[in-house]
Amino acid sequence: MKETIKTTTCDRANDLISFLYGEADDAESRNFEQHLTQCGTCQNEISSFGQIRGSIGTWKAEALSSFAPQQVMNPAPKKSAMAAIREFFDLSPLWLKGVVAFASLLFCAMVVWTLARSEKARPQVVQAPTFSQKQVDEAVASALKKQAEEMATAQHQTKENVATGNAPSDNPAPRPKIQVNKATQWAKVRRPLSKSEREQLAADLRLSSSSSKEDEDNLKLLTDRINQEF
Amino acid sequence: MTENAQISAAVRLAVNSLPTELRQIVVMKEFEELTFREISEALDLPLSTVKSRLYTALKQLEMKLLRFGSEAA
Repeated sequence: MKETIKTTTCDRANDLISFLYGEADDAESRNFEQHLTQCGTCQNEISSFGQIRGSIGTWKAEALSSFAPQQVMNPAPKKSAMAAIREFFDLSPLWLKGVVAFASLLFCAMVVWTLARSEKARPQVVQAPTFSQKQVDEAVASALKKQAEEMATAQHQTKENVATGNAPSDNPAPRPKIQVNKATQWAKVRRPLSKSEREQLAADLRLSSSSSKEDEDNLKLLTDRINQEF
Repeated sequence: MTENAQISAAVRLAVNSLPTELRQIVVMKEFEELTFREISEALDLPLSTVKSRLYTALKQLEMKLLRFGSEAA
């Protein structure tokens, strides 16, 4: 590059530029080449501008070589989710960090609240009581014992009825005690048969069976027993 | 720093220090490689104005680069 700056100018600056960049047509090029042989200023400028263009070319080439190949050969590495979040928080302003933190807390609270509500709404499963084998055996034994006692009571009652001449019940099942007591009370309330009633009863019995002396005695015994009973 | 890197740095500084209307013409001609007619149509300027602005830009770059060279020396 020249050491001194030439301040002298030529009035064919535009032709010089067209010639320098190769945009002058053939006639203009020939004309300017002839001018160059006679104009030292234009010669110096053509030389100086050529060097500047070369320097710009160097800058351009270096910029392209240091930028484009790196982009092609080294694609941006994939960032992990955590790295992306970290970068986001590094770049975001303070108010945005606060908003994100508040939103996260709100979301967690809503999740907890929803879980608590669903847990409360879930129907409670009632556990059936579990019995041990021993408890079951005891319950069965108790039930059998109770049933045996009731059967024994019923048999005893039947024997008493037979012994007292009461007709056995049609129902073989043992009568509840409370019912027996009621019947006894009701029987006690009944009045004894009067003489006319006894005669009527005897007449009825006579109609249904042969009227022998023995029957009459039996009837009399039966009537007395009934009167005693009631 | 290599010589090319030094030249690149100096040219970048010199171009960036140009006035906007001159830097615009330099970039369109040297980097986008447009013709003078295309630049004049794009900027809606006369062809002669485009050429004269580029001439002025090159003259200023010459002066700036000479100054950078003398400061570096």
